[in-house]
Amino acid sequence: MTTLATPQLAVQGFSSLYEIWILLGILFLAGLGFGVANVIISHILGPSRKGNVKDSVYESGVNPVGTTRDRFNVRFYLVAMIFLVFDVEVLFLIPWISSFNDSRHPWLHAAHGPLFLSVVIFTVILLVAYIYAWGKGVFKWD
Amino acid sequence: MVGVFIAHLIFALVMLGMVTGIIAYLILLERKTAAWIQDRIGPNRVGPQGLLQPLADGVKFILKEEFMPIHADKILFILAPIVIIAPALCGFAVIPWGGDLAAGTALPKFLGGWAFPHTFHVMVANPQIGVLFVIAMASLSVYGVVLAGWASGSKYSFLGGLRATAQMISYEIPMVLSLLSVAVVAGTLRLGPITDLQATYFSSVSFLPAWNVFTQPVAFLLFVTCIFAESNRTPFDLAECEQELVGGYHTEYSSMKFALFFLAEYSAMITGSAVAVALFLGGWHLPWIDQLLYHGAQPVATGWLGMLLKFVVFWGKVIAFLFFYMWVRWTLPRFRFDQLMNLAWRGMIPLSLATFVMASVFVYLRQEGIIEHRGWLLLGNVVLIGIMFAVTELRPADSGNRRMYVLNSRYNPIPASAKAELESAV
Amino acid sequence: MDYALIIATALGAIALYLLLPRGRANMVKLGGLASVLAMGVGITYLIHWTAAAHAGHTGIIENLFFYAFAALALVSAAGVVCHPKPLYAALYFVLMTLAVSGLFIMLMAEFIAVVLIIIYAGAILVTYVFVIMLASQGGQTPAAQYDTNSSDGFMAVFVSFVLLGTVLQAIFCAGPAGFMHSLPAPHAVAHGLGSLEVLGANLYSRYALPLELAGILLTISLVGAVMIARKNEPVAHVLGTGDLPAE
Repeated sequence: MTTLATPQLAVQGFSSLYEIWILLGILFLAGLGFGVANVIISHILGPSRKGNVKDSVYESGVNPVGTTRDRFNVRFYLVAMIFLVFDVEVLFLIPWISSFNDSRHPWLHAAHGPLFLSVVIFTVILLVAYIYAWGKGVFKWD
Repeated sequence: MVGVFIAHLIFALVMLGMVTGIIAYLILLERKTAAWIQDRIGPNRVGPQGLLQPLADGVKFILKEEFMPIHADKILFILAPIVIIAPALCGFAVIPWGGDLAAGTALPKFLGGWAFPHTFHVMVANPQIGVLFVIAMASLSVYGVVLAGWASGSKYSFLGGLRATAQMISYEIPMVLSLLSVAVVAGTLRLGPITDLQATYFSSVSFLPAWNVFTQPVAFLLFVTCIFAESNRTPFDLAECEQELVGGYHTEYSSMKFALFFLAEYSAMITGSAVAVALFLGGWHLPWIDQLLYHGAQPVATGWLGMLLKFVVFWGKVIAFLFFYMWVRWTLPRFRFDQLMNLAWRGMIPLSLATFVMASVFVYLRQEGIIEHRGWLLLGNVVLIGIMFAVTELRPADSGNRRMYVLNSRYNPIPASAKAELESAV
Repeated sequence: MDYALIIATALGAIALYLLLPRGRANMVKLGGLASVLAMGVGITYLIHWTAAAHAGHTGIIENLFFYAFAALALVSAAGVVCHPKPLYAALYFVLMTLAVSGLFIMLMAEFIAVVLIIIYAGAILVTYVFVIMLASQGGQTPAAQYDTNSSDGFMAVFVSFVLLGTVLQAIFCAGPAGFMHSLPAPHAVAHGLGSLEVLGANLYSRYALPLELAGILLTISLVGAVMIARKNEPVAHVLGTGDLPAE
């Protein structure tokens, strides 16, 4: 493992990296609390009158027919699968970005040729997958 | 160092309040814009010019009856709006709202006069993964949509949830690729440095600010399209289109639970616009006027006044962008679902991949010392647009709008050949 | 041999076995009690172990987030296995992903943490949820749709916990001092271990071949997905569900 000359994770003014994630965690919890509080408040303050018709689902005034939880076209599943593959491949590119164009570290700058080559190969593999899926008609929506 | 933490915490809470407040007024702005475009007056009863309308809306939402369909999955039905609002409200954490405060800037005397020991980034948090945090939060908010659609037990909701999910995941890949093509030029994922690089002018065309929208217009177009799709707005609002699905995944929701979906949508809009402004539109950079104020480029680290100016400029750009959102919504018609998926998978993904590869080649050549000027990037983008049009022209035409045959129909009966095939299949 | 560790593992196994859905009157309360006991023993063991490694310093406060995230991860992992409704199981998986990414952040691996959320919560589990939503068959009771009874629960729990116990013994057998010795030194973390630059440089130069192989593997998995899911329907554009008109 090659090490960097300067600490990369030191965040200006913070005593540790954890503090910024504690901040983000507090923000997330605040958002969660906002949601919970709103749901509870409107549950307490709002009226509640139940009825047979009111409790049924809205289907434009027609009585509901059949069940909702039915089998569905497999094409949505295929989209999710293809997305999964591409998503993983695209996220592999992210660490490459910050090491490829890094002028602060001479050894990274010197290595930019091999770094570029390996990402080109990786992108070509991605492209092959894409062309295959296109050829198989995965992206045809009709 | 506790002071720095507390300063960030206060800033986070202030921003949280500010964003929720602005969302309330965005809804008013949306209604006013709609009225303006449709030649109506819009809300004007509550307060002067309807300015107190958000308050009335909020009270109304809280006091409305909430109900739940009898077949709903009770826990998930209540959970869905909470799940969607929490990530939506913290996406703005990594956005550089106002550049940096220079080290040594002190609070006013009546607040104790405490001075910042280091440069203070005017953002809630500055992790090295930067904009990836926004994407992670966006991918978490998919669950709110899916759960709402499934838990309601209504067919409209289910279809809406399904569509929204397929759409949101399809547009995530071009979104990531287009922002990566900006990030590779800057060499970082942090939004702060990406913005700082844009706060200058081109060396040869000195009146043009060196914003990324001018160097990588294709990436900008792709990104804007993707954030429209990610926030389920027209022309990509198939998940909640009124004419087909009533309200889509939130058909069965009422009272504050419905309002939370609304808030999440607008909050996603704000985050998306802010990321677009920081990545492409120069962030806090105030073009041309900064030459008069600073006699040169606007400095990254400033005192209170400079920070305030940047903050206002940033929010001004964000509001302008949000207005663009609304303008589009009330102008353009909606896509059909197959067009939507075609656009993502057959148009935008290859184009965004090409943009990314081009930006990488540019960075490679710059490191080799062959080219230096950012104008080459613009040239590459123009060439890319040309190639795109050429490919679209040369590609064999799609069969496109095919006839859908319907059993026992008078207008589209099944042709004899197809019927024979169908019978043999059965 | 570490008896506390064995006891914790065994208690965990009993707890999971009792919590597995069975369709008949199960012993959820007993299972909950056993799991609380197992976690209690485990945490006590870890605290003692930390104290031994750091000269009497228990580090409860510093490691509070670790214990919280780890407990959350364990509980939600048990939820994934034990919840009778598949959609809830998938949501427990999301919760577990969040907890584990919290653990990664504690290791200063921000990138892995966020990618875990994006890939697992944002992609893989969306696929799961799709499958769960799409594959349910209408008109049946939920109990009939999925096999809500855990089949071979005993064997599964037995095998997995024997494996877990072995791994734990292997990790902890060197004792606190030996274990601390095998960790990367603190200054390595300060000098860029876990930073994106170092990760990218290593991934694309030193580990370039495995990376390209991973790319090829992903391509192959895409081929598999397409082959399985894409069937050519004989007449795909006929709407309507009725029988063919009798002629």
